[in-house]
Amino acid sequence: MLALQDPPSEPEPAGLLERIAAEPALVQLVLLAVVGIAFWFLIGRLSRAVREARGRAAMRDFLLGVEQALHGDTKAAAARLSRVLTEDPENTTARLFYAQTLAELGEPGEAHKHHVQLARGFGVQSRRNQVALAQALLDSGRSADAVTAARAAVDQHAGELDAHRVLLRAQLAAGQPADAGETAQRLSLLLPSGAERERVRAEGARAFAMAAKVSLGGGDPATARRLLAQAAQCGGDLPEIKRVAAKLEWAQNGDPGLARHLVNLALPAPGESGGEADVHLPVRSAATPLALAAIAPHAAYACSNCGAPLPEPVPTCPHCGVHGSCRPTEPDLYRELDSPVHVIDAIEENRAHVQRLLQRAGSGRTEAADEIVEIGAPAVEETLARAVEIGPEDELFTSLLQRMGAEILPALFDAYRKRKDDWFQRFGEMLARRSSAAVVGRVVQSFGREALPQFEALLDSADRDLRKVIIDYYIGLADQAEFQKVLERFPPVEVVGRLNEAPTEVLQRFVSSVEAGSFQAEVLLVEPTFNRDADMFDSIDAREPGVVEEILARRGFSRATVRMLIDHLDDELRGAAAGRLLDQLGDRALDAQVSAYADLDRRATVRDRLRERLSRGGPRAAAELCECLAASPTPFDDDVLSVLVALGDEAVGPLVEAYKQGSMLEKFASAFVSRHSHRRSMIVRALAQIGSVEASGALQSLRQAETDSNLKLRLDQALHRLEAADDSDSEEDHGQAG
Amino acid sequence: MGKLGDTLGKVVTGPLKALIPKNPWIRLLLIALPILLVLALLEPVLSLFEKGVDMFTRLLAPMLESPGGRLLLLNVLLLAVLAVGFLVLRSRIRQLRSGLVLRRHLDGIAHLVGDQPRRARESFRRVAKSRGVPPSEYPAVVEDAKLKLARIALDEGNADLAIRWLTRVRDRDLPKELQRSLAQLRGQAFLEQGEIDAATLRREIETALDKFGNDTVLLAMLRDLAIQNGDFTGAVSLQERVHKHASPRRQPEERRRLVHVLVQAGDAALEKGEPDAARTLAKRAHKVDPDATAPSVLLGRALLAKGDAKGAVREWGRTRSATGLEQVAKLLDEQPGAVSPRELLEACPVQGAVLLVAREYARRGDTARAERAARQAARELGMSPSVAAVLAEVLELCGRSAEARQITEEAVRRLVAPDPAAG
Repeated sequence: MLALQDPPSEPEPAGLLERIAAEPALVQLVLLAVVGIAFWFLIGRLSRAVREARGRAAMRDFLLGVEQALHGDTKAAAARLSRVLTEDPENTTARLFYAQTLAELGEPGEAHKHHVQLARGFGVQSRRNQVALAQALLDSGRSADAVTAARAAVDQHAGELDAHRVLLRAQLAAGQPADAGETAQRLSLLLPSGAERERVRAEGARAFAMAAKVSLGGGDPATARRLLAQAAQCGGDLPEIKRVAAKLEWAQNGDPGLARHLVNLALPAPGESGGEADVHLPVRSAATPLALAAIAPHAAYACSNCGAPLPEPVPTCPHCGVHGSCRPTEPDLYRELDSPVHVIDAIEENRAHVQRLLQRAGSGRTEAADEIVEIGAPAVEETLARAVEIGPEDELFTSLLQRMGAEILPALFDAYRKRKDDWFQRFGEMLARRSSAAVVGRVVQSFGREALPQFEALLDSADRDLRKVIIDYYIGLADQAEFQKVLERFPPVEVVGRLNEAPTEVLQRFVSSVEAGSFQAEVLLVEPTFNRDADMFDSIDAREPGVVEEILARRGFSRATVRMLIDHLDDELRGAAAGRLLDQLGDRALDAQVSAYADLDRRATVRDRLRERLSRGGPRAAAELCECLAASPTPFDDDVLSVLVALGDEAVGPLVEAYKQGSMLEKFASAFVSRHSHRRSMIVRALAQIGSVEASGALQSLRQAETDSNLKLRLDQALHRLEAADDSDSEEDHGQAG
Repeated sequence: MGKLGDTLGKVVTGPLKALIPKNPWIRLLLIALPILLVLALLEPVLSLFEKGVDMFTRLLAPMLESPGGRLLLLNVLLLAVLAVGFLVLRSRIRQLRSGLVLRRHLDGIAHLVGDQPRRARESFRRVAKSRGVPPSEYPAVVEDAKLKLARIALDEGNADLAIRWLTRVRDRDLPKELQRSLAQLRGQAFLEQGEIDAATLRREIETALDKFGNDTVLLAMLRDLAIQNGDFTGAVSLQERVHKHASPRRQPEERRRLVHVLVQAGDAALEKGEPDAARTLAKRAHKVDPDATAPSVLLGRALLAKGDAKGAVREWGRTRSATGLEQVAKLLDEQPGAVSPRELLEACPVQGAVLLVAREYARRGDTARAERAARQAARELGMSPSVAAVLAEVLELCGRSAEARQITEEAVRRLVAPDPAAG
């Protein structure tokens, strides 16, 4: 206490701070150090704060990005997780979620890249990554790779449902139905009972059925049977299984096996009725036969890849996930009709349809023609109209009516009457010089006796055109007994008129049936107004000339007939008949034969026949032939000469006559132009070649009378040759006698 | 020493490296500048500091002169050191604990994607039960863990457990992303649990949609509720929003669903006797997916309801599909003669319609035309199952059972015969 109370004896020492303060440099140094340390500390704190802030932001991005990925905000999640991965590429969780968001954003390729990085770069073997990887492959369309990835996931995580689901889809997409069936079986065992389990079981059954079908197609029924058994184990009562089972039975046991199989399915045999089908596809109804309904595809669409039935068209198969594989099971059902109007017209067989068919038939389409014939009576009116429109040269439409047969007669007469009652059509026919009666007549000419009752009923008709049709029918019928009814009711001139109009084959058929001595043979066909000699001649039967030849002979000479007969001289069948008829016509036909013979353009065979005939023609033929010799040379001189020579002595008289009767030209020019003596030179040659005594005498008499020096010389030459020939003949005779 | 030196070097240079630019000249400038500045301003600062120190020493001097004062000063100094130490330690412990929670959460997520759901659930559960200060990196970790637990429970089909976790999620200061998950999960849990009144549930989802209008999950839930209540108009507008905001992968499916909902709405309108409304809906559906057949079928039914059977057949025929043909067949079954065969073929010009025409004629007793139609179809289509079925039926109706049986046998034989394409 004393010490405390004592005042200080010495001045108090200065404090530490004072002492320090007393040294300004030291203080400044200390303060500088303090400021520096504080500054350094501040910077350190700041940088740490920045780092922490960055770390907090990255952590927040990661955690919130994961949450966004989980709640489906994929765009925001992808942005956040992308930032996280930029800062921390080793954040595998962020990468996994990022890949999933990419897949959700429709970029399966990018997603797959990140899954591969996780698996290969970081060795992540988690179920989620493997399943997502397989799914990304499947989404990218690489189903085979997806199968491998999904199988690896299943192998590592045997109880994992998602891995099995992806594997099943991948196997279906890759076309591995048997494997898919087994996967479906395993998956169904893992799943709790419920709708998904039943669906997976059905999927498995369908996959096994498809595999069985493939095996059966590949010729392996044993495997197919085993796979079908597996399909049945999956609890399948699907039509696919029934169909493949039926295929198997049919392939192995044929129809009996198939019938047994259907019985085993509690179904009636094909074609047997019983109960109602439970299918109601587009056009099938409950009345569909059960056997057919049971094994036919039940759905209107199916996946072309996995074969699964689809009730409606979908862009992606819900079973295998393949895009654009949905196909209609019966695509033709939905194929567009080219022309619905045409189809319904064809079904109704109405006028429009017939018109179209006729048009096609007119273009040469035989199936259209056949269809018209099949339609028959309903097509008569239009066909008749078409035939009338074309006129007499029509063959097609008339023949169609003829092919329809006699049963169209009522329709034909109806159509005919309708046309007749229609003044417009009648007027048109008149203007165009066409006649429906003519067409009908041609048509009925092809009908047989089955049409007789109808025509008998019409025999007393007063209709002028109908009368023609009736006559035409009886002509076509070619039954002379029935024809008597026509002769009794119709004047011959009318009948002859129809005979003149009859088609060739009809007329020939009719003429062939005419009997000798009948009215037809004696009167009707001999009528001068009947002008079908050529067709009649063509109907002559070569083996039995018969009545037609007689009729032709009775019809007598006509230039047309002679021309026709000459044309047929070389005919193998009727050449002889033609010759006989020409013979019967006598000299009246001779000049036509000579002129035909002189026609060098005529067939050689005909000319040969004519040569033979003229060689037998006697003096009349020689006289005609001499008229063929002209004042100047012609190409057929030699032919004429040969016939004259062949006629021999019968030709001498006419030759001498011809020599004496020169033409006006010869008479006028004989004094000036020596070459106009060609005709007489030819006669001299002919006489010289005949060489008989009579010919020699004729030559001598002509020599005596001849004044022309040139011709004298020719006559002398001819006589000299004849004498020389006689001498050589007598020498030969002497030699032979010696 | 080397390690220590490295560590020191990192400690010293690390912050600088982190902050300053990479260009060395700019770096030099940035380091030199503050030093020069301090040197330039040294004197006034020093004088101020000196004044402060002087004032402090003047205050302390009396206390230092007495033992009590010195004792007091010592105690105060000790307490201050202790307090600073306690605060620093507490902060460090909290930091460690929050880091542990965060790590657990991350572990949970890793387990979740790593095929260990049980461990994931355990990790999330521990995070969810932690009561400490949340980590500064992710303050919502606890709520996130609860959401994850609810999600796992929902995936396992345990809606009650999901609701239990979701009820414990604190909404306040929750990030928007977690709020969206919470709204989704609550909706899903309540829907699965099924005890909540539909109207209440709808209101809750609508409230969530006010905040997250583009959320397809919420929209889909509301759509399903609308369909359940028969509110197809509402369902259509909701599905349109779903379709609009769906991810590219789900677009085709959502488009198909939109068509389906539109057709459902059209069917409902038809049932209510509003064919015009059904027609409008059908046209909307057709615009959404021109390839879909259902809109045309609906349009046909609307036309039929208005008495235009031919128009209906035309619409159905336009689809060139099984569905369209089936509708035509159904119409002819129910109303024989509703359209004449000619009208039928003109309106529905497909080969399958020829079969229907054949059956129609057969039912009328016009056997000749029925046979011709059947023959025409058989010629174009071959002996497919449908052709055989209809032919057999037509022949039966025409009284030609034997031929019908033959055709059936032939069709069955074709079905079981080896496929020529399979080789």
